[in-house]
Amino acid sequence: MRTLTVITGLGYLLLQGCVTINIYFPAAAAEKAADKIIDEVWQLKSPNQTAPAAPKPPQEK
Amino acid sequence: MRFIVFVSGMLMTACALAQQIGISIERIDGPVLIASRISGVLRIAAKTTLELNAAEISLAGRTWRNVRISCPDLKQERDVLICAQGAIESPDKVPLSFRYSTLTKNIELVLRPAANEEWRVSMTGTTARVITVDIHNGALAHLKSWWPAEWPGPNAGALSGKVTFIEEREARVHGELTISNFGFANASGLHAGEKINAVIALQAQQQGEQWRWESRLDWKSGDVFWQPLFISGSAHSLNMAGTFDAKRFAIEQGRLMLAGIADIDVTAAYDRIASKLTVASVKSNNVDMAALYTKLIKPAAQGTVLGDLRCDGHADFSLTFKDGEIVTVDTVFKRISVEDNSGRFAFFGLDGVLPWHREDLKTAKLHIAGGEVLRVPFGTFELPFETRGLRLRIRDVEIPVLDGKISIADFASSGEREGWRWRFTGAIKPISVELLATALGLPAMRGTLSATIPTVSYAQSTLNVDGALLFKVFDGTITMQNLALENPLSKVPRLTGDIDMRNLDLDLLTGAFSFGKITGRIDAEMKSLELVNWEPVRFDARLRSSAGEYPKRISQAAVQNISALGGAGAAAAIQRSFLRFFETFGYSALGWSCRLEFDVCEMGGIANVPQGYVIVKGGGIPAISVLGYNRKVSWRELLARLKRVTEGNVIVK
Amino acid sequence: MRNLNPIRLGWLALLMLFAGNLWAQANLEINTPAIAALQASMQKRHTELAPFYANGAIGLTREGFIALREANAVALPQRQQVNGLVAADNADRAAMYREIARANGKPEWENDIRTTFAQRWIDKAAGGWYFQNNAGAWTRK
Repeated sequence: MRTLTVITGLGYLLLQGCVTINIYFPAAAAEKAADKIIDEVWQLKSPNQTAPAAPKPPQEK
Repeated sequence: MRFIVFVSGMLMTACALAQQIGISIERIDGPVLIASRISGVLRIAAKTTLELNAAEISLAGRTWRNVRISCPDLKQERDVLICAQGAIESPDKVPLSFRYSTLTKNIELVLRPAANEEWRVSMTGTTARVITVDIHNGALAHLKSWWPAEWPGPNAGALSGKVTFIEEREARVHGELTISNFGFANASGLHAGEKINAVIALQAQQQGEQWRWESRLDWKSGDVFWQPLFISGSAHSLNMAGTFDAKRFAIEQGRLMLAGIADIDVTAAYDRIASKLTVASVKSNNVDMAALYTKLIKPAAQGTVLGDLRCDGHADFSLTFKDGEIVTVDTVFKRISVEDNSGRFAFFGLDGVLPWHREDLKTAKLHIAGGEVLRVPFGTFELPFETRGLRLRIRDVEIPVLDGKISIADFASSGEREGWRWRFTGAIKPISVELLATALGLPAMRGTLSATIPTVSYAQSTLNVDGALLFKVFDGTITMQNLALENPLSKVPRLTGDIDMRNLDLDLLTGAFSFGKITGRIDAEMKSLELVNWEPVRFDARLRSSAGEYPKRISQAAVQNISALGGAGAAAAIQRSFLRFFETFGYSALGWSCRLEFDVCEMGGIANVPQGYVIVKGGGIPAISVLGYNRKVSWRELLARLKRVTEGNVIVK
Repeated sequence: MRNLNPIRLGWLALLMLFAGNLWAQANLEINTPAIAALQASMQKRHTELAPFYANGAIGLTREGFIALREANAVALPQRQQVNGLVAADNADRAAMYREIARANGKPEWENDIRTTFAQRWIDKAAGGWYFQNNAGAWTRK
């Protein structure tokens, strides 16, 4: 919702020829960074992130 | 059966089956006890019972309403009335017994709020009433009612001992109480005590309107935490003497003996009406700084710059307070030395007198025999300064550092709401770089360091240097400008600035860093340098041969080392060619640039060639050129390579 | 046509936004000596702090810091030490948020980074630890 506002806002501002800069904060990347640091600081055993969960075998009916 | 009722103003009613006497008393007034609107019934039957109800009882300033005293079996032996198993309710029910002699008017009252707990109050004597309170295992929590609301409340502990009150024309009190396992705490837990064992002896004598008192407190064991101070009890004692009346409570003579720390003399006057400390003084001579630091300051200063020091020497302190605020602090330092155990700073031989007043101008003169900052030693100097409240001013001071001097003029500081701020102007009179490098553990360098510093200022945790620091090293000059140091005392100090180097003699420079000999001169500039925790994280650096005529030779080792910086393998090429027969080569210019950001160094040379750049441009005979092909390199990787190269660990096949 | 189509401009803006987005999402720089130093310092301190998280003496604030919430849960002789640990950890936390923002060349992100951390500290807290909910009240996890 906020992103949408930024987009339309930006488009509008470009048309106006007067640009204010909207600061975009990369929330997901920040969370990833925070997780990495917190896991280190608190010495949390990080679950195996690289291995994707094994697909469930189709259940027979 | 005959009963003598010991109250006045009674009302009697008769009943057919049993005698019943109604009791009504308007008011009983004693020195500490006031009871009003007492009503009750005395029933005389097979057993005599007494029921009393007081609308209000106040004991030593604390008032209870609706107090019920009952005595289911009241007996009489000659002139003594005995209630063996009574109770008092207010509203908690507490077992009570009393004996009252109608002849002598002596009363003995015993309260047993808990098993093994007893409060025995006896009143004897006719002309001079003697009231004795004998306490056995009295729970201190009962005293909560008398505790001033702003004090941390008692939560554990027992009281035993005896207090005697002699009521004559001028009253007297004396007693001794043993406190065991006493605990107190406020809601936040920042003022608390635990397992305190102590003995209090006190006596007081009325003199007209006033009382003279004397007390002695022996604090035998237990801990007190009064943020940020923690004191563990062991043979500490507090002796006090003074006066009090309705308006004022005064400690005329007080001595707090903190065993193994200090003896402190205290005086104070407390206004009981305004509930405030009007005047006070605290004084202590010859305080052992080592003990004071380890026992009091160190635990309080954990995690700060003062958290891990070694202290030595003695000091005298004298503080005065007025209307709850500190007015003067006078300190005398005697051969004090302080050393940071992590080696950041140290000073020794601090002597002098330091007076301070809240408002008035005071001048002080301290003498410091020496010390070191970040392993750079400094020598003896005098430190004269003026204080006025939170403002501090030093007109002139010269600190010998190594073979030179740092002079500071017009140092002024003030403690403001946003924090401490200060500024000074100064100069560095030539200091040998060779000595400085040795002290800092840097490679041997020759030259001098000198500077004029128009202003150094510190505010909002940032140190700013206006003006230029000028180093004369390697036969050239290095100037540092726009220096700023943010959060200098934090874990991650950040230094920013611009560095400009001119005409450095490469012979001396490469010799110092064992890089392989290069003859010539270079200019270098480092713009927007940013060091965090003293490691570079950002800069825009370029170096190139200085202008002018001078011999330019580069050794084979240096060429190999430069090549090795470009990555493994490059160095081997030279070994395979005829060039290996030459010790040195001529060059016409050399240069290199590195723009560091996000751990990546983006490199360039003096000119570009297809897919690369020129680091050394050949000239003379035999000539050699060194080209770089990697534009980007990890800064850490580059540092690791540089380290290998300067340590002479280049693998040459 | 000299007329600029607002819709096309919108798409352009969207594209630019995503370009920035992708770069940022892929990589928030946390690999600096300062962050490493702070992380190591906090990790070392955590072994001392852990028992006090567990017994509720300290809790995680909604601002991304920690606070001594129940000093009475700490033995008296250690109370000031825990005070000091809390202060030191908060200094490191403040520096950490600042350094991450700076390392990414966006000092103005400091607050957003702090807020992100505040939520993640709480999310990752062990059961039984205390944290401040959105209203600022201490809550047991």
